[in-house]
Formats: sequence, structure tokens, C-alpha cells
Amino acid sequence: MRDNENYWNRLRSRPLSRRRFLVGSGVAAAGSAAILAGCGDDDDDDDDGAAAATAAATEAAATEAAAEATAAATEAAAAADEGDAKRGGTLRLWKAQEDAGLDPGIYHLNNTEIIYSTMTQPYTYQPTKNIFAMDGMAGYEQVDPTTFVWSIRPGMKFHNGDAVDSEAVAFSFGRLTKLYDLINPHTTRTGFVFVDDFEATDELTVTEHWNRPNADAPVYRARHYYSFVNPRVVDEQGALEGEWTAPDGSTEDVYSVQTLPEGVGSGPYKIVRRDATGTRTERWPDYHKHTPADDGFVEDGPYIDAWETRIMPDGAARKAAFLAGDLDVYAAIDPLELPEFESVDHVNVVELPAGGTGYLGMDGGKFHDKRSRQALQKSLDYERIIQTLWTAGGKLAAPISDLIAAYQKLSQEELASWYRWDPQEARALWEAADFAVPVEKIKLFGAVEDPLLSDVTQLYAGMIQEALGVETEVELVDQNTWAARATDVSTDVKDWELLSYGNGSAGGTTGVPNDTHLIHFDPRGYGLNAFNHWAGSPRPEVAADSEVLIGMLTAQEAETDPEARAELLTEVQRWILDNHYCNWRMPISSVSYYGFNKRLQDFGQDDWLNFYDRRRESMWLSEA
Amino acid sequence: MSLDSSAQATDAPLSDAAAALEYGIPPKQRFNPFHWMRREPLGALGLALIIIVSVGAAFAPFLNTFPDPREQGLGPPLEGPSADHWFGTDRFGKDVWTRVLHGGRISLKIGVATVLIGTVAGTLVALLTAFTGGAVDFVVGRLVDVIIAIPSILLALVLYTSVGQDLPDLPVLPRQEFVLVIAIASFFMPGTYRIMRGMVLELREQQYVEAARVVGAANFRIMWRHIAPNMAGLMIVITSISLPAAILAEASLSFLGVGVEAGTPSWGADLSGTTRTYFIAGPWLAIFPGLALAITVFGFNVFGDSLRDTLDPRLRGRI
Repeated sequence: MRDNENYWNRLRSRPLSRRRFLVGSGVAAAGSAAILAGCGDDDDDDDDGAAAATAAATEAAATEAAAEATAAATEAAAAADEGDAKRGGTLRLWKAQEDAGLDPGIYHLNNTEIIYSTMTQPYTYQPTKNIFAMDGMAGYEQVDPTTFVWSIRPGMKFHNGDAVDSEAVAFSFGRLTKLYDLINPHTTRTGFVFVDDFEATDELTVTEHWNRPNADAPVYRARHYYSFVNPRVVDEQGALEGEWTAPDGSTEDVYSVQTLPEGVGSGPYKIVRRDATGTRTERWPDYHKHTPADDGFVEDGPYIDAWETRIMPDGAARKAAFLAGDLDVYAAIDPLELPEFESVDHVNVVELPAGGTGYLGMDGGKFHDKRSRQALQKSLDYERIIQTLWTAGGKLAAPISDLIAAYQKLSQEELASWYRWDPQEARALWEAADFAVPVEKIKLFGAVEDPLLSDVTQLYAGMIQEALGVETEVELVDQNTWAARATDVSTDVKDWELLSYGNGSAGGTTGVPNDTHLIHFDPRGYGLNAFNHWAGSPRPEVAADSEVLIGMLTAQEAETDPEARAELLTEVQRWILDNHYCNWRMPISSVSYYGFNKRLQDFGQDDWLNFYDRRRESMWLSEA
Repeated sequence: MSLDSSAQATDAPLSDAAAALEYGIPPKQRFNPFHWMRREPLGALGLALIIIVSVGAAFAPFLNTFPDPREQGLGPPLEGPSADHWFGTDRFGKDVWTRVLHGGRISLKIGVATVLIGTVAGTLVALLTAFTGGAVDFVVGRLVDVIIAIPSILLALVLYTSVGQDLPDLPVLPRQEFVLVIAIASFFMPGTYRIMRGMVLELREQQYVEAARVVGAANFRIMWRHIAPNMAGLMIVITSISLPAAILAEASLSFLGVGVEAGTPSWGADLSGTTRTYFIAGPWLAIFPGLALAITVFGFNVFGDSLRDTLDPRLRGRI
């Protein structure tokens, strides 16, 4: 009888059954978990540290010896040898998602590695050193307050052999105005709105005629929007965006080049692959010389042969790939992860000043009443946000980055008067506020690719719900969808209430107050594109506020005296904060950390704060 | 059997045991739980694990150490297990013990709802089509073949993104959880249908079904009174065996980022997203939700296996 049998005898006598398999799997899983847990924090960290320190010391000694040896050789031969030794290799980068287009005049996400590597810009600007390093331009001169003259570097060619001349440069810059008028793209319009025209004065000279002075114009020209494009390729192979009408009534067809057809660029690399897995650019052998080579440039072109950029939406996968040595750069290391990164031999962790960004943008279609915006801002506990998010310290963030020290005059103490958590007052303001569209639920809308943003946004949502007693919801979508829905200007009311973007952990500045971060409040910039805060708003109070802010922004842009401008910028910031206009900068980390593979040399760490890292041709790979 | 004894039976009803002796039917054994536990120790262990997990989930609001599993900043970020935070904290200072308890509610709720919908729907469709036969059976059979050919997670993802926005909030299931249930049930239903259809085909040829037909019973009555009750045992077994797979499917979808709403505690969601970045710095983030998931799935698996052996030993190894 079955009942009289011993269970274990029956079990043993059975062939491999599903149950036995399950038991075995369970035991194996438990054993593996125990082993993993036991190995999680072994005691040889110090040994690793000592080994790393020894290795670093050895490496330093070797570098010093190598430098001495090089100095002993003749200067010319050494330079040549060094240049040859640095050449070659593939720089391995990542990005979260595919680009949604490559036209440098239509800013989209995830495309800068292509634009910076395949196109030429006038120059780079490093705000931390206040250096302009010439690229496609050989020099510039401010002839008078409204006339700016460029000299183009001679001998440059587009990838199809066409010459890069003043006609091409004037076309490239002039096209931005037309694209903006036609499709209202992401471009920082404040970089050209003061320009009447770009004139090709002679073969290698371009003259800008301005209708008013502008303090930031030279710095703006360093942005990738001002990449040189080949007029012939744009007109022949571009996509028609529409017919543009000039002030004099004449019309012109305007084209975009979202796929960057062959010959449109003149940069050091050419695209050899662009698909769902990533991009690859390889050296273009006919790239022009930089003589003399300014900081970050090399006379004979970049040292690195190719750039391989993998699309990696998953943050954990990116981190694993970097720690495994498969990537060369990893931005924004969480201070809590530092020991993990520092324990890996090939990782070089660099500490940089904080330039992070974090925003909660408000839909002016719903939050047209200032009291509603103020209620939202008073519902957030800023001290708790800093304590929860920024273990290495955090700070309040003003409408202008404090990396632009010359213009940022608001202290943390002064900022604290606006960043004040007061849930009672918040609820009172909310209840008193007028809503043209009822807000029964507050949806905070963000992008899923950012590994920290999800939790950061949930933190904000929880605080708002608790303070205002209004249900909140966090919706996270892919980055391109997020951008499309964020900048959908087809309706006066967004399908979200608050736009959450930027996790506050790392970032930089171009040195232009508009870029970091006034454009996010500008009624002609993100105010219009994303937040329904603009002069044409159907909500009268929003329209009136927008007119005031535009006047203040225009005035500060035209002020060329740094001291006077700093005063104007302080006024602008106070006005934005007093009126809770459009957007709210959230607390950011006080410090940021970047990880570099140790094989990447001369990466110009300051450049990683100012967006021009990708244009640094002097980077080289020690194992190439 | 004699006519006399039949007459006797009508005069005075026999007890079950006497009737069994009289008609040669083996006596019905009374279920003894202790006996069953001795016979099926692994099944008993599985049941114990299920009870522990279910009690933990059901009484999460009383067993947790912090009331809100979503609340951040409850402790220092990435703090290891301690007296204040038994399972440690995550990157944002959320209490992992509280999240594991509440995560069980979501996982079990979605698992049970999914399997009930998938099993009941699969069984009903099998009963109707297999009993009816003909063109309906053929068409539905081929449709199921097509659905089975689609990778299950892919099918769930497609349903999630295509119909997800159109589903309503239910009182016990918010829209996002309802979408998950429908998406996961969609790939359990075909499997259940296949198994149940085979059983219906077998049952409808049985003599008692023929007898019912001869005495003029309607199709619906035959299905409802004679076939469906005989499918119950198998249905229970399928349910118990599908449940761990459903819980894992919820975890997988949450891991892929299409699960419950961001921030909702769920074992799968807590093993994915930002958390994975901190598994080395905070191994407890992986160990505790992972262990809870593994224990639950293991418990349901071995219990389901034992249940199958107990209810119908002939099925051993067939499911």
C-alpha cells in the first residue's frame, strides 16, 4: 500500500520529477544567495585600496619617468613621437536613447555626439577658464556695439569636397532664424533674435549686423546650433519644412537635415553607422588642420580614430558596462556609489563643482493664478529633499546657475526666503486660487531613462499630495515621448500638471545665463514651448506677466557692462521667484562626480561641465 | 447485487460505508490533514510558506514598521538591516521591510486575479467549444494556436501598451493593476484551454454522459451537471500551478518597467529600476524582495504539486 511506504524511500525511488527538480532548484538558489551575501563585503577592501594606491604610485612614477625621458629627446622629435603614440583607438560612449533627428538647428535629445564629431562649430568656450578655442573660425572682432565680424579658417572643406566659405557660414546661421519661425524648435532663439542679418562680406568673412547689443553673442556661437552646414546639400537633400517669409515680403523654402546626408558636415569624423543599437563615427582623413591649435585641438586632427556610442536605456546596465571596462565615460555618480567605483582599478573618479539641474515646470493653462503656483512651491519640504537625495550635501538652486559666479548674486540665505515649506499656507493658497480648468489630480510627468528621476519625482508628488490634499500621480515615459508631450504646443492645457526633469545630480554651464537656466523661464523659450507661459496666452495674467519678463530679459541681454548686467540679472531672478513664474528649480547636489576609464587621457575635466567635452580633439587613449 | 438488496436500499438508506460495501465501491477516506502532511511533507511546507506570506501580506498594515511603504526619507539612505529598519533602507530612505510586506499584497492580488480570470475563462471556452465541436472548436483551437505562438511576455507587453489606457479603474484593482491582470491572464488562458479541452473531449465520451443524453438531458445541463464538476479537480490543480508563474510574470513585467505605477511596492518593481544600480552597495535591496518572491513561488509550486498528487494521482507528471 502506498500509505505504508516511507516518503523519502518513494522520493528516492522516483525518476527525476518536477518536484524533485523544484526542491533541487530551491536549495541551489538558497545556497547561491548565501554565498553571494557572504561574498558581498569581504575584508580585503583595504588590500584593494593599498593595491590601487601602489598601482597609482607606480603609474605616477612611470609617467614622471616617461616625461623626463621625453624631455631629454629633441623637442621636435618628441612632439612627433608623442603625437603618433597618442593616435588611434575607439572612444566608447553611451546614450539613453536613439536620437530623434540630427539637424543642429533643431535641437533634439541624444544627438550631440554626432553633431559635435561630424560638424564644425566656430569655436569652443570654456567658462571655467574663460577661454575661446578656435575651431572653424580663425578669429572675431566686435567692430562696434552692433557689428560683429568673423574670420573663417582657410582651407576647410565639407565631407563632399565643397569649400566651407562665408556663404556657407552665413547660410548656416541664418537658417536658424527661419527654422525657428517655421517650426518653433528647441533652439535657443535668444542667440540670434538680436541679429538683423548674417552677411558674407568676402570669401572668408562673415559680418553680423545686430539691431541691439548683446552681451552673450560670442559665447552663443560656441553652441552646436551654430554648426556649419553645406547649403548645397541642405537644399538638395533636406526635407522641406515650409516657406519662410522675410520682413521684406520675399519668400524662401527652408529645409532641415535630420539625417545629416553625406557632405553636409565638415567635422573630423563621418557617420558610418546610426541604428537602434547606437552610432559609430570614424575619422575623416581630409579634415582640415588647426594651425595654431588652441586648447583642446590638435594641429593634425583628433587623436582618437573612432567614436562608438551604444544606446543603453537601462541605468544599471550602463553602470555595469562602465565598471566592466566597456565604456570610457560615466557621468553623475551617486556619492553613495563612490566606494564601488573607486574600488575598480580602471576607474578614475573626478570630483567637479555641482551644476545639476532639477525642475518642476507648471502648466500655465491650469496654474495661471499665481496663488496656485505659490501653493505648489510651498508644499515642498526643501530641507527634507536635500537630506533625502543629496547625501554629500545639497543646495537651493536659483534661476541662474551659480557656476556663472559673475552673474549669480543671490545667496543661499536669500534663496531660502522663497524656498520655504509651509503646508498650511500652501493649502490656504490652493483653496483660494482661481482655476480656469479644474485640477482634481496633479500629474507629475517625467522621463523613465533617468534612473534617479523616478524616485525624485515621487518624493515631490508625495509632499504635494500631503500638503495640498490633492491626489498626485507620477507618469514616466521614454525620453522622446516625454519631450514630444512636454513641448506639444497644440493645446492651451497640457495633459500633465507638472513637468519633472533633471535629477539635480550633475550638469554644467555654457557660461550664458540664458542657457543655464533662464531659457527654462523665458516666455519665448520653454515658457512658450513647454509651460503655456507666454505673451499670447489666453489667460490674461499669464500674458501680462510674460510681457514684463520679456522686457527684463531683453534688457539684461543688451547690457554689456558686467556689473550692471549682474544687477539686472538679480532683478530678473527676484521677479521670477516673487511671481513663481512658470518653473521652479529644485534643490541640487553640492558636488558632482564623473567616472572616466583610466585609459582616456587629457579629457579636460572642466569641459565636462560646459557641454564641449565632445569637441575635445586632444583626448587620447593610452591603450590605443 | 440482488433485487432484494435493492429493495432493502429503498426501504432504509444505507450509510456511505455500507453502500460502498454493498456496491463494491471503495470506501471514501476521510481527509486527515496530519496524515496528508506526513505523506506530503513538501506540500505541507509549501502550504506553510503560502500561509506565512499571505498572512504577512494581509496584515501588512499591522506588521509594518512604517505606515506608508512609498514614503521616502524614513531613514538614512542605503542603511543596512538594523533594529529600526529590519530589512534596511533603499537609496531614498524607504523602509525595505515595509515595502516587502506591502509588495506581497500586490504580487498576490495580481497573481490570484490573473489565474482566476485565466483559468475560469480558459475552462469555460474549452467546455463550450470542445463539447460543441465542429467549426467553432476548430476556429477557437487555431486561434489559441496563434496566441500560444506569440512569446508570452511580448503578448503581455503589446496588450499592456495597446489597451492599457482604455481600461477603467475598478474598486479593488486600479487601472494599472487591472491592465497587468488582463495582460498576464491573456497568456494563461490558452494553456488552460488546451488542457481543459482534452479533458472535455474525454469526458463527453463517458457512459454517464451518454446515459444523460439518452434520458433527454439538454446540452447545457450535461455540461453544467455532468462534465463541469469532473473538471473541478484539474482546475484547482492548474490554478495552484499557474499561480507562481503569474506572480513571476507580474514581477517580470514590473522589472521591464510596465508593471504597477511608479513607487507602488511590488517585489518585481523593487528588484528593478533604480534599485538595481545599488545592489552592490546595498545587497539587502536584492536579497529580501528576491527571497520573498522565491519563497512564495516555491511554496505555491510544491503545494500545487502535492495538491495534484492528492486530488488525482493519475495526473502525476502530466501537468
